[in-house]
Amino acid sequence: MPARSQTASLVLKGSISAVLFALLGALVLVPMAMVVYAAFIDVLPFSGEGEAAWTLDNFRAVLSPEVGAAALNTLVVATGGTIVALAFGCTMAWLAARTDVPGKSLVHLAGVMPLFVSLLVAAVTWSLLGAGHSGYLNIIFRSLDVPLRIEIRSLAGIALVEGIYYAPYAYIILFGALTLVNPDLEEAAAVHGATLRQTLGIISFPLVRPALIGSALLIFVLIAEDFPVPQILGGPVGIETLSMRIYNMMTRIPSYPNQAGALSLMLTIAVWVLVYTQRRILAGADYRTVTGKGLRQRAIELGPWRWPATAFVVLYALVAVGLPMWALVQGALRANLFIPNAAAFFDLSQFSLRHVLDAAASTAVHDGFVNSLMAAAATSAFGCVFFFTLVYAVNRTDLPARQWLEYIAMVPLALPAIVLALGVLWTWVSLPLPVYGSLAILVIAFTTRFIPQGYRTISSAVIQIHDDLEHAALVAGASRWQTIKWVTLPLVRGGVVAAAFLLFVLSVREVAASLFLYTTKTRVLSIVLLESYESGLWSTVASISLLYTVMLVAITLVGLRWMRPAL
Amino acid sequence: MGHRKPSSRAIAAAVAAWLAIAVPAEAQLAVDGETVADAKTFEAAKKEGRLLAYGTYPGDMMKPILAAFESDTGIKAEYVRLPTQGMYQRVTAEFAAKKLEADYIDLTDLPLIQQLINRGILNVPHRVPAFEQIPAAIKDPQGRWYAVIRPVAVIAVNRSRVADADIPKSWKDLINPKWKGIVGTVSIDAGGSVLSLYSFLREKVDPDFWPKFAALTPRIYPTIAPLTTDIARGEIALGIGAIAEPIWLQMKAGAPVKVVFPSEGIAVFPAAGGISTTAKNPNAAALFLNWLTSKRGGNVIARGGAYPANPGSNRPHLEGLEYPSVDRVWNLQLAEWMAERESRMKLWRETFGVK
Repeated sequence: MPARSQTASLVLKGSISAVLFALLGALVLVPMAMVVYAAFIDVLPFSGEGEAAWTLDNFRAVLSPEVGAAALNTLVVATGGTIVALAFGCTMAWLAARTDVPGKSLVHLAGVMPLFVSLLVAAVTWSLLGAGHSGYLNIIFRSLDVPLRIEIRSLAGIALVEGIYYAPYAYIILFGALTLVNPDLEEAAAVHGATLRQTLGIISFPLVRPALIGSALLIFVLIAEDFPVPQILGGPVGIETLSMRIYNMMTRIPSYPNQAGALSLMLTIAVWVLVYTQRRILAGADYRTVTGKGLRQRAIELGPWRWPATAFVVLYALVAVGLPMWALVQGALRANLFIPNAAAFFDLSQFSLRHVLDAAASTAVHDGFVNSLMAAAATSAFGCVFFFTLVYAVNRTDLPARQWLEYIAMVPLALPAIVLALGVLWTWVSLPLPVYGSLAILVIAFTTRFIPQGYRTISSAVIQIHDDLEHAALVAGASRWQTIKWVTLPLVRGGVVAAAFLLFVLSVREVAASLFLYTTKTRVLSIVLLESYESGLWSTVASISLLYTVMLVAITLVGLRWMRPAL
Repeated sequence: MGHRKPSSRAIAAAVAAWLAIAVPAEAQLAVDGETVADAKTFEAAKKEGRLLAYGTYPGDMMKPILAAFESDTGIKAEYVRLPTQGMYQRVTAEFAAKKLEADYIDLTDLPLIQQLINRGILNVPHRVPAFEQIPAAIKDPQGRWYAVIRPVAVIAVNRSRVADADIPKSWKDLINPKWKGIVGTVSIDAGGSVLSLYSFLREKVDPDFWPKFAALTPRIYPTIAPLTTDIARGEIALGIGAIAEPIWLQMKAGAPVKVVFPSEGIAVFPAAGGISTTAKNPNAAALFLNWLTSKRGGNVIARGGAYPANPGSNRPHLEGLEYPSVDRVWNLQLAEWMAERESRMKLWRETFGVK
């Protein structure tokens, strides 16, 4: 290569790298720096609370037995929840991607459906369904004289609910990965006499190990950081997790945002260790099975297992979506919350459409819908372009310091949403840009918050594509851009569309990140929902939730056909 | 034309007469004979035309209040609602960045209001027309804040789990082993409402109310909303610290719940508001404060089930509930709140085993 073009290429690489770092820096590192700063000073930053002095007291204060107990609870809930989520998500993904299970599109729908339910709503519905005395399920058991009572307000209950609603992460990531596993390898195993179980254990799952470990890590950290579920289910019975502790530090009076910053910082470091370990585990192995040799999708025949598999899917859909939706319908249509016995579930005189119609006609709900849709669409569009570029830069180029892009991208995972929201507020309120107070700041907060999810979803797909296809295109004279457009993107279309969908749904239901950033004109639906919840207007909460579930189902049905990679 | 042309002097006289009647009547704001704002303030407020309020009172309950204000004054009111601590953090951050646009701000925590004053964020002395009538306990002596809306913490009972004869009539009736394990309350960390209630119980009901009640191992809810829900559905039999209005809504919708105003009196907590130093519409904010503390504004607030600041306003009224008269209502005052908060919260946590 002549020297001049080499220099030009170096300059180009340098500037691409600089742009990516600058963007990630503005979105992630600056708010993070605000939180770090808060952790080491003795006054609330950027609030005019007087001169700040450096201190380590915030760290000393959080190293207490109570935080230890909260950490243990968090570990139990996150581990249990991750196991539940992987068990459901992986099984469903494998059934949908690789087998001839009947009603595949329904399996697919069941796999992603729990995502539609905001965790706030999920926690409240499960509290309605599974509270020890007045839970709907317990009322039914009592009416049927079944000597069984469940108590969802327990560590096991919290883990179960978290697991159910984080299973779609495992599903989406594993589905993308499994559709890309070369069936020739499985066929070879089968030809050599392996049973279905052996094939799965020796070929299929080891091949999707990056997706498996990646989703396990993502789910583990997200559950550890999740707030509404432990707060609503654990709060009334005295269970506390780290996320609850941080939230309480931020919202109680007097508040301790500096200590919250210190604890968040410690969590961030723990997550970095996890991400680093994950990279070490995956390093050195080659998971690329989609190569230039071509790939034909073939379904594994389940034979007699078809019907148990179908039963599993139906059961999962029932527990994850059916029961909560039934509770939501009861909540939206019933005049009041009290249910004396099982017969009352069918007592039509108790039902009315008033709350649903009121919610549908309310201007606050309308404006919330519009704002949520706009913010979610913008987050989804901007996020996909940005995250794909990031993933591509990390995995397909020799840009300087590209691994650091991935580490930075994982940072928001460890930042509890409410701390991140405060960091974003501190960052953008002081900048002389017309961002604060507009919908754009919500898009910024959402994008920052969901970088790890979006990045992981896309990277799981990219990792599996062998670069020989792209090399072939490059060697044949295609430019880098043409190669991306005609080779890479079509192959990872499933992953990118899944990420777009994920970002959209997550943005619509996000509460905590919006909390400090909305104004009267940019009130989003989740804020309307939270306000109704805090006012004790459960019928309104249920009605709004029903309305937006319907909307999300409609979007999914339209989007489903794009979720498969274009092979 | 056979008509005589009116002389220019007659026209001038007529105009003068018309002005004499019309100008004062149009310029000052009076509702039902009560002066809410003088001509100068009202004219200036109308010129501003809008109001941005940052408040802590739930949006659904604020809606009828803002609607009545708009129809009385023609000023369009926008409302941003956050819980107290979140509002405080947001207000201070916006102020530090010189981006605080709120005209009016309220919080449910008086020491935090005092901090806003100390920082010069809420430092506009304003004597509302009803200043003299409003008790000293619920206003700043210089008029920088007024406890404009005062919701009530009550006992709420689910009648499917409590026989009618057993329904408590007083706070002392709660100290009874039969409620062990089926009674709930809200954590003192939830904010001013619970601190006020428990201060009242200790000072006005029984100095040992806390340990006696804690011995019943009440279920402790992090906030008011889940306590309300659990009482309405009968997950617990009764609870203290619920707000009257959402329980009343359930009752009206047919749930077997009851609101009890105990015989010893009740504790209220303040949504205390004032004019922001950086207000873009300071006259609209002054008008809003005048209106909230007026008899007329107080009547609108009372219709939502909370006590207003103006003692001449109606007693709160929700159909089927008999609210105590305003002299049975207890407020935690600023000085005590500032002095005792920390030690009291610590003691509460120890007594109730909450860390």
